[in-house]
Amino acid sequence: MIKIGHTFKLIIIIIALTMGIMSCDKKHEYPVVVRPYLSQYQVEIPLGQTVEIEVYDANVLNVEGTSRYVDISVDGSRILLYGKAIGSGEIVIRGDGTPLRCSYEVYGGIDDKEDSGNSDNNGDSGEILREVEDRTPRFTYDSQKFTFETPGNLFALSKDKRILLVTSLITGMEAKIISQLPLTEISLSSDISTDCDIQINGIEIGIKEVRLINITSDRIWIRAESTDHSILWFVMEI
Amino acid sequence: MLHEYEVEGGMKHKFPSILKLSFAGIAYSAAAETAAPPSQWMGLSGNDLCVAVARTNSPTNYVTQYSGDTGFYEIFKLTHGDDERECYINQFSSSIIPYGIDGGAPDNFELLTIIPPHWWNAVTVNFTSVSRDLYNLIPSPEGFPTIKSDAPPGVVENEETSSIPGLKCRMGIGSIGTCKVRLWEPPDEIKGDVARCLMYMAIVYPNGLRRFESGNGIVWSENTDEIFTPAYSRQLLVWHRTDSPSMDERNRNDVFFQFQGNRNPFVDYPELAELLWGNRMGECLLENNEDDINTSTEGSTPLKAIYSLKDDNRINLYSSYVPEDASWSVDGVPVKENYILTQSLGVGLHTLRFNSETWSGMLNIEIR
Repeated sequence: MIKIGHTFKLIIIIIALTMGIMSCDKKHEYPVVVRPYLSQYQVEIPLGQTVEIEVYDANVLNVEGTSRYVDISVDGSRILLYGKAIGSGEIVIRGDGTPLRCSYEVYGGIDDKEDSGNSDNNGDSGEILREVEDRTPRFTYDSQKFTFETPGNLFALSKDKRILLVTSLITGMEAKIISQLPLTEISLSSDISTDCDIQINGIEIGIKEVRLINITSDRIWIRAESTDHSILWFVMEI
Repeated sequence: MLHEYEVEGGMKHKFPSILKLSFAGIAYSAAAETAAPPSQWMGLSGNDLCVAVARTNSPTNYVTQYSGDTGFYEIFKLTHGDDERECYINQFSSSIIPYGIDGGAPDNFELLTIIPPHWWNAVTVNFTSVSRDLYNLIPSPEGFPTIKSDAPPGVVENEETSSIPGLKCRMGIGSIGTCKVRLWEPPDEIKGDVARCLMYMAIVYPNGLRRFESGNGIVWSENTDEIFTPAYSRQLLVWHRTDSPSMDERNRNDVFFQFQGNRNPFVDYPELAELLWGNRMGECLLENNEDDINTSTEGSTPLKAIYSLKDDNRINLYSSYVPEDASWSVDGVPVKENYILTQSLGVGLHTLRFNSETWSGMLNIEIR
């Protein structure tokens, strides 16, 4: 009986203490103020690609100003930034009137971005722009260049546009890109390394990344990086 | 007196009449021999076919003397002598290589080993054999073998300046696959000869080859079944196809057979290269299909990069890279035939486009 009485007293004391603490908390409670916020405040946008920013806790969204580097559009609670030219800046998004600042940088491609930092591609940030400006059908592999202008470089594209072949009738060199998707239907700048193989002289080379960098009505520019960091370009009439 | 043999396309090949007189009998026997490939090759492919070819086409005798009727000086007069029978034809430079007096050593003469002996281990028999094999030797001007040195044959991109006046071949850096190495580029007219020499040497002398240390590491495959690296076999096949065996080269086969007891099978059966490394790689040679391998590519040279208005009569519009059903246009004008005459296009750069049910493509060619 004595033991039960002690236990009962102990329980009563604990309950009393708990109630006391809870009553103290209620005295310091303050009203919650909901402020809009962004999923990210700094974005890097590959040229020709769209990046989304989610705006949370805002009912009305507005974007202030325009940019020469990005096209900005609002889709529900998302801000869509399309990289149209290389450059950087800041946009101001108003969520329920609250200004939210987001800085952006548009760069030439994924490797171009790497180049500007600690890159193993010799820091040549203009490489992609230079290659895109050159419309000559060609295959380049590091320092080797096989252009259409040089006699004997044969360029062929399968009718389903899934295989692109470049071969030299002088040396017998043969480079081939084989894609599961038609090369013309690949999303711009999306990495398709898992969907395609590249062979040089019949030997498959390890691919880190393959991207369709540019497409026009009559040309495609495909850039690949091998696992040994060699850069390959296929430019072909379509 | 010269005998001229006209082949398809209007090309003429010449060799001195003495050959015709001295080796008339041989020519007939050779013709009979080339009619059918050896029965030992039948049903074989890949490495087994290589072994069989080596068995049937290895030398039975080696020339060891320079002088005398059966020495190198006299033998090469038969195969590389000029029309006046006074000089060896110099295929590498503009200098003259006159015959030696009274069968003696000629001036400005050095035998070039197309594949240097030190590509083989010095302890092997092949080390000495390859420097005596007539198919591996060409008369060259003095000093040229030193300049060529260890460089394997290939297409030169950045040419070196040479101390030899009027050098007809190019030395310098070029690409084999993805590697840049020092190469020597033979004159166009013997590129096929050189390719067939390498193919022959690879088949006949596989033992003791220093695969990794020779040929700047780009010639021989790590996989002994492949023999050549894929990039290098492609280079050789281009030369083999675009410079098919000429009458001079076939004649050399006849002459060398008399002194060495064997023939270069890639001259007699050009299609053998396709079976081992080319479009028909892995196919077996079937007894009831012997004609397959006797196909001569002479006169049916596939599309190539550069044509000579003087030497190339026509451009054949076919290539192993283009479907057979392709239709062609040249400089925007559709072509109905499967060839076009170089004269009708004239000197300059011309754009060829093709279109088939499965592929479309384009390339430029140059006529000089």
